[in-house]
Amino acid sequence: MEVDLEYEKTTALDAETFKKIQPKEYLRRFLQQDTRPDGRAVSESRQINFNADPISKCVGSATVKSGNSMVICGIKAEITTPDPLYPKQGYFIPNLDLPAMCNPRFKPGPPQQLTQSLSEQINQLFEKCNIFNKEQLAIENGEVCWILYADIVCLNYDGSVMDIALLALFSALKSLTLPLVEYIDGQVKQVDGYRKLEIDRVISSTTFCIFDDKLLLDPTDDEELEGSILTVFVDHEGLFCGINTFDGHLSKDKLDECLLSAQQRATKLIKLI
Amino acid sequence: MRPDQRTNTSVRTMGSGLGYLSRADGSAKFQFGKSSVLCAVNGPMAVKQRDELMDKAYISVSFTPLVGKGTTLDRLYERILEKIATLVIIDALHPRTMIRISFQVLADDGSILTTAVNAMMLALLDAGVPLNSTFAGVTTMVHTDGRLLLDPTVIELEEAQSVHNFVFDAISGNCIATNSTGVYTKEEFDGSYELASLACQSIHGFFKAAVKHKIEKEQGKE
Repeated sequence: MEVDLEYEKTTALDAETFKKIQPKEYLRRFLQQDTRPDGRAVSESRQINFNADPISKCVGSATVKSGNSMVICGIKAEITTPDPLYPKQGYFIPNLDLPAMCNPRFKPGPPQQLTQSLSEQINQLFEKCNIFNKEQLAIENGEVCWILYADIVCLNYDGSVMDIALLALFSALKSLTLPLVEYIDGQVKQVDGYRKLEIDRVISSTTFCIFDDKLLLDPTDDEELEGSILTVFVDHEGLFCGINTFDGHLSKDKLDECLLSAQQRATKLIKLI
Repeated sequence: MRPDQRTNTSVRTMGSGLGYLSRADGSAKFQFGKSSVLCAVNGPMAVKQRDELMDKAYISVSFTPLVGKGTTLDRLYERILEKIATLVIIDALHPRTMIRISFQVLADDGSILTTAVNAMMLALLDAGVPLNSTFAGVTTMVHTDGRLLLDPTVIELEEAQSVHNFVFDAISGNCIATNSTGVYTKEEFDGSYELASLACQSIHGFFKAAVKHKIEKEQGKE
């Protein structure tokens, strides 16, 4: 049979249109060839770039870029009164923001459910995993202490934002320098010199996308939308600090595969910080 | 032995009340001991134009804690519950509608997320929303002294090294949701997984009995 090439050309969909109307099938066609729409292999992550201390007005900051995803983290230090329940400790308040500029899916205004749940996951790490001793933030017992606001802002959301948010947060914490202060007669005075925080536990996360029983490492936004997401948190000793998956049909074997792969990636990621 | 006379691998006494609310399309109360969550399901109903989906139902979840208007933790719970609901409900059967699932914590004595998961399962069954499978959830924790405890209470959670929430699909036996916090080894996670998987099977048996009881009552067979 003779094929009318001109007719084929006009009716066949171009890739962009096909992607828009059949996003699942579009991704599936790539995975059948063991590759992904951006040319990576199934278990290949994106190149990560760091920029240490981009914000000079912060006590510690970092930007991290992985493929098109990009976050910036800045830590601001202020002086306040300690919590009466923990008079020897200071405060550490991490917060992740996904502003409307980073992805057309996000709306301007108060933080949405996704933003708040990602923030809460970071907060849980700091509450439950003894990352650093908050007594290092004390200035005078029961009188004054440091409060550190760690603001992580996503500039470009292209998937796996938790991974780079944690990289940025920990590299900002590592570069953090607190000014030395003295507390005399109810007044806080700055003296010469700086000190660093001792970090006891460094945690990295690895995001997977489960699509058609395949595990895609470090998914992009398009991939995240089509499959279900699994995030594994691993510390510098290879211990697990959390696993989150909310809608994946995972057998134990697949889950074990993710955990092992996350452990291997964690050692590489933590070296970068 | 634990403070409430349980063994390490037993859940607290479960309680349920299907059709607890008269005005909701489906509702249920679920209890693990003193932890109690009420869940109401309404829908399919009219949807705001902004939320309307052309090919499936929009699923909206709201989780109200015992006191206050909710923290970021409650938003995380909402997200987990919404994801589970989206996975299980056959949403393509009701395009351009909304299914609203609301939770109210009635009493908090630990393991509140999995209590809510189980309340949602019973409420969805009560509402007759089309589902592609059933599920059950349970919480485990690893104590600082290394003991593995099932369904911990608030007092036990204060001494937790790590806490694991699991939701298992009753048909495939696969894990559909996990949320773990704290520091733990692979072995501890595997132990928790096994324990939770077995516990979910017995919780599922409880669901069957609860639904059977309700249907018999409706048909007048006491």
